[in-house]
Amino acid sequence: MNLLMTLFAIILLFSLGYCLLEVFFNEKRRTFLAKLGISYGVGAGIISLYMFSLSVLGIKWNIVYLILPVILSFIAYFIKNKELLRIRINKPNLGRRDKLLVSLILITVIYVFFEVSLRPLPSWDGWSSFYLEGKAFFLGDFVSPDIAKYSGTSIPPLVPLLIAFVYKIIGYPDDKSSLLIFTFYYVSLLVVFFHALTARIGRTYSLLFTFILCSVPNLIRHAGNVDVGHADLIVSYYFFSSSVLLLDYFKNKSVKTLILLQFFLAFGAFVKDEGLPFFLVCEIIILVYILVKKMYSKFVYQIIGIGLVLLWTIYKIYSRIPTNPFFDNVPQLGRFSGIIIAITKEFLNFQRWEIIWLLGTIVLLIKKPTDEIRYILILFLLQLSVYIGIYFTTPREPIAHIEGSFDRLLLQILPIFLFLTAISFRQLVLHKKRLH
Amino acid sequence: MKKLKLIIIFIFFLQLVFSITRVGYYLSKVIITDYKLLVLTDDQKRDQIYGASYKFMMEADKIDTDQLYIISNDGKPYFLGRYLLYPKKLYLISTNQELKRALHSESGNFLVYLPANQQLWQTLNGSVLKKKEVRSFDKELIGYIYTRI
Repeated sequence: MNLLMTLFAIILLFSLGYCLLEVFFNEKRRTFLAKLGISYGVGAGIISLYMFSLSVLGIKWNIVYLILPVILSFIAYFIKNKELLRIRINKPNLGRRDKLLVSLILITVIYVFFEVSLRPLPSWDGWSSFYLEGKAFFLGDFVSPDIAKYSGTSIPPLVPLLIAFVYKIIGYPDDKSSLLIFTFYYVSLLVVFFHALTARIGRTYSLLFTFILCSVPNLIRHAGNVDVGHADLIVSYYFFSSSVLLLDYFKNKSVKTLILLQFFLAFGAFVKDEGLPFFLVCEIIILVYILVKKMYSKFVYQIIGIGLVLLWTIYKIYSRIPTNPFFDNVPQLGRFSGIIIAITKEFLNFQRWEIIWLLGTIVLLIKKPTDEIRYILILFLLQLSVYIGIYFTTPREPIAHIEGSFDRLLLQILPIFLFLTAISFRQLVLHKKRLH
Repeated sequence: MKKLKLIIIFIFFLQLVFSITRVGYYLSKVIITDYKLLVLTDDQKRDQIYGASYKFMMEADKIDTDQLYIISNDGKPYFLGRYLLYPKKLYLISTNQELKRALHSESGNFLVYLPANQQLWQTLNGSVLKKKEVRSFDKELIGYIYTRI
């Protein structure tokens, strides 16, 4: 029963996201698949923002308040489209190779769903922060800064709020079934990844790389296996979707895409603190792009993202929630060789990544991305630099810190890396064929 | 350059083979080991995942209190306990001063999860608290619960 109620909660999030996309961000060029991939992220982000806002206003949650945005979005959809929720799926015409790849992807996804249904919350970060706060928010019916002080962590509120939302729908804090939140982020990530690649490198290559992504051992661990409950998979979803929206914006220069991108960037910063440097780098890239293209009126839309991030930052300062300790110290350059060896070991960790980082690094060294894709490479490299930089300032023993956390940081940027690899790889192969 | 491209294509196919093999491995894992988890109860699964800490925290949860203190050399029971016991608050005691302050506070009860700091444990044994042994599902001694009389 709890499992069904969790599925119901997730359907509500999908529906909310889908209706909002149709009503406010409807663009004809965005296909159903593209909308489906980002619907869950929009729905989850908006519901968290809404629950947080209610708390800030001193309003305690109840089931009616929580479902209200979903009902309102349905009404808005109905008024705009003069019909109930309509989903159009065109049956794709798949060749034999594509069918095989789709089957492999489906088998992997089914396996992940099977695994997630087997265990209660298994991950350390899950107990110590996300689920502890989620349980406290659910029991208290509001976001209490006291729980952040009690848990001693500074995690942003999106994941605990989502957990609290699912608990409110179930009516009970069931950590086992609520793990599906993470699995649906995994599925959504695959959909966004496939869709973003299809337009650029064709369906078969997209399926190939989507299959490689979906079967990455570390991704599976976080989507439904022993590491489910960490929020890094959710971060990777928002990072990757933001990158795709950034590329869309470069291509179509649509205000709707820019606004949607602002929300996604802010949602990423609402999941974990690592979202903040990503947010800043992306905003700077947008700023530079706007300046270069002389589209000065577009600056104003950046205020949306900045405002949302400031909302959480101000709340954190006002409520005296502890800050992230990893950036507070002076960089210690004497750690250089130790850090480089430790992170190289992680890049080559076969059990977690197989040879993806090796493959991608070689591909990207030989065939550098061109056009707007270069901005995504810059984004990736700067984010990676921030991660490596943390180990120069961390108050912990850096090697132990790397061994305990670097794999999760890499997971956050893995889809972006694989996306860049796929595009460069396809260009290399194409070039090879032309030579013949 | 041409050789380099061939090497890249080879590495790509190698990765693809690894991915396909991995999926095969997952399927075999379902059939050989994971299906056994299906027949376990929720408590049995938690015991398997969380270890003896789970049984210990279930015993601690039965105490009628809103505040608990834990002494243990291992961080896991503290972090897990904070989650499992919530809304009961659980605090880690690591110094004699903290323990004395907690003993004088007149509220809250005490947990000792083994192995624990001997000195702190002795201080607790010397106090006027009711002591109860906690054993794992396998009947192994895992700790003590001290409650105020």
